[in-house]
Amino acid sequence: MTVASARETKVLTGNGAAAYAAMLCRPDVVAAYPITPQSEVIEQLAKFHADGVLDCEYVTVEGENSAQNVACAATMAGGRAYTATSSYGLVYMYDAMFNTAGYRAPVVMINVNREPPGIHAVCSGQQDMISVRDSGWVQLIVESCQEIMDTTIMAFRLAEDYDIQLPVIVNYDGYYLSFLAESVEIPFQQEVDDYLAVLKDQPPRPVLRPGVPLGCGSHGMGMGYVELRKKHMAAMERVKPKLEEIDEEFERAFGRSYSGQVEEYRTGDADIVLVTSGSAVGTARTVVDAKREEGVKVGLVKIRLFRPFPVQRLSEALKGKKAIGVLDRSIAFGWDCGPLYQETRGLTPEIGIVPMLSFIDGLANMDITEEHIGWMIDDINEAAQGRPYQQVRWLP
Amino acid sequence: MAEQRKRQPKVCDYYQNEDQFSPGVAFCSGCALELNLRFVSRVLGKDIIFVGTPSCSAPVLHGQNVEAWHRHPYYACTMTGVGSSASGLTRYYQKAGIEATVVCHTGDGCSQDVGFQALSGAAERNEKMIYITYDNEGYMNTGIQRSSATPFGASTSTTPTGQVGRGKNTGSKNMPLVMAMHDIPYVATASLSHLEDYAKKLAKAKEKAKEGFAYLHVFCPCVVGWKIPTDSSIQVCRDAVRTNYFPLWEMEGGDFRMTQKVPNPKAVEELTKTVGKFKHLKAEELTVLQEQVDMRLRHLQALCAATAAETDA
Amino acid sequence: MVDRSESIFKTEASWSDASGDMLCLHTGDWRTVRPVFDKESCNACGFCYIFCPLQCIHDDEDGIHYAADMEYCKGCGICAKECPTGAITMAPEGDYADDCSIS
Repeated sequence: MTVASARETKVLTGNGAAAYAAMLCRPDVVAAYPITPQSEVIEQLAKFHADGVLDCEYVTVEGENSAQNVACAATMAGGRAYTATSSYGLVYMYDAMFNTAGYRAPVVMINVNREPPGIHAVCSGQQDMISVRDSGWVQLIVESCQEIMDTTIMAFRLAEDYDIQLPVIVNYDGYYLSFLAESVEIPFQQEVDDYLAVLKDQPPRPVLRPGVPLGCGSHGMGMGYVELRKKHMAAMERVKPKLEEIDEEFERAFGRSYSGQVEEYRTGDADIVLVTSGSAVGTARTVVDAKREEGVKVGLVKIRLFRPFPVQRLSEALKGKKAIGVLDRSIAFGWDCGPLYQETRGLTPEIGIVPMLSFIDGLANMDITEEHIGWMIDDINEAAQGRPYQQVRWLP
Repeated sequence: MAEQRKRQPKVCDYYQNEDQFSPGVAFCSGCALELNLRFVSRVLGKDIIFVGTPSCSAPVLHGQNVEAWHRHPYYACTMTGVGSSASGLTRYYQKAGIEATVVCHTGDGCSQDVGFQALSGAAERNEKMIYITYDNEGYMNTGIQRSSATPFGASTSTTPTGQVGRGKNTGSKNMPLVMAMHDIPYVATASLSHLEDYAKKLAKAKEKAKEGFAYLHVFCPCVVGWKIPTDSSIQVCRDAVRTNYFPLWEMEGGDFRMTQKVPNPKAVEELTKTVGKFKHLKAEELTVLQEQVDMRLRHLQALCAATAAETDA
Repeated sequence: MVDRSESIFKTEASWSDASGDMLCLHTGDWRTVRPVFDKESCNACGFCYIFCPLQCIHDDEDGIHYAADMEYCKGCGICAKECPTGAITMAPEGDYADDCSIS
């Protein structure tokens, strides 16, 4: 793959788009370990590095846990760091992820969604993303190869923002996006530099330097610990308006917007809504349009920001609807439903008690088809009409 | 030091500065690790950056909220993340053109067990850093549990003696030799009884860390865990060297040499009889331990002969 | 109720800063025995100085011999054991009445 010298459109896989975006953001340190379906991301970055296009320290670590620690420490020394992984690798770096988040290290990480260990599957699934939801990281999940490119750039802008200082994961579905080739418009290097330049004008964050008696990772004693946790929570809350702001900046700079935390598609006059995330959104848009042709007043909400959970934006989108369905590509162990459903259910104080249906589909590369989504919309419709419905439905 | 001194220990020539630690810190009375940390601070100098982890050194190396027990910059991380975090630091400093000496300082439990992968990976990549293992032969901070550095026969809280149990039933991992097989510029063993030898090795490691990975393995008795009197740490170090239980050697660019000759080595019993964790050992068990000590020395001597370095330090 | 008006950390994460005062324990309180230096037997070799784990042994007033810092000396006895001439002995703390005022 040669480097584009102008803002051109190339046919790139999701992994290719991820690598391109990372390269454009000029990380100082890249550390990663291969895992299907992520490997091409780090291979492409290695090629950029070998060709002198990517000027970074490229650390070929011996495991994902180390990749995370390399990235975290590099940011604590003052650098910009990037890593990428999936499923088994993500959960292998779990202890290191707590470290990164607790240190408020602005690491940007790609996670290519794949099923985690336990039932061995080299297949797409969002369980990996769900399994790390309480690690203190910001999590985004995207729908297309272009969005992978754009959201990676936004992720650096977000992570390193002085008001935020949180690590960010950009998730995308393995196989459906990692290996799917779509046309992607690639920004100019200068445009990306300009977009991220605002980060240089900020007050400096503490960094580790020889001769300066600062220590990173002090014991949190008593109220000191509590204080830092509160600060972390507050920063998480600030992510929500900040993401909206960053998205608007992105639109001004690059001409594309993703509507911030959530995207509403034809929800304005909708009676019923389907909520979902990731690559399934693309399929769902098609089915929503088809159902609208049939006279069903259905809308779609795409959850783009998963952590922090977009309570306010999602509540606004769902308020006043007659029934809501949530499509999950994962399961919430112990809650007998999908995780996004479980969390959306938590909006009852905001939206009142509304029939809410959980759909579990797409585990281990079992495709979420247009037909499936059609059934889901039909089920939601039944609920909206006051007829009996199944609260949790597994597909296919 | 005043002019009237008749003589001054040669090791003092290696001190760069006063140690950077607070005078009153929470190490046990007679703890060899306290000497180790202060010594490293004096010899390597105040500009080093420590990488530490939960261990006996953590309550001193890591701060408490905004305050700290020393003036070195430090990075505290999980036990699994020492070699890797240090890699992240040293790589960024190289990228940014900042001269820095990153010094990992961990116990044997981290280096040899739970942090081994990250250490091995960092060594294989020849990351520019110094990695110091202080070997107190177990997990001491958490209550004297066994590690892969615990020797054969030693009594620990997870290999206790009892009606049936006779202490640890396997030998320890020969960690310094394992590290020497990583094709890195420098590996050395050191003992707190032989401070000049140790100082030379620290100085050499600091130079070597400019080009790659330098590993030091330091014998560091634990007064509480080994059940020795508080005044005996240094003597136990000396006995370990004199019995060849802990030989002092270095490997530079593939060449091995002994740095401390032991012309009339004592039987390992000379060491074990003064160390409480061994007191239950019967003659046949001591024989097993002696055989392990002898075999290790043979391996080392073979490597020294094979690489035939011209001078002994 | 905890006073929340002053934050403990000025930073967002757990950074410590030793550019001001360091933490310090009065470890002299720990000891049950203390080193006694016999200058007559001392040959000023400096072994006590280098082997003290606290590095709390320093020049005596005469600049030739050594003394331990009683604020911090833990009474471990390493100096006495390592002394080649037996010039250091460990005596019970109870034999001494230091100034107990808080400084």
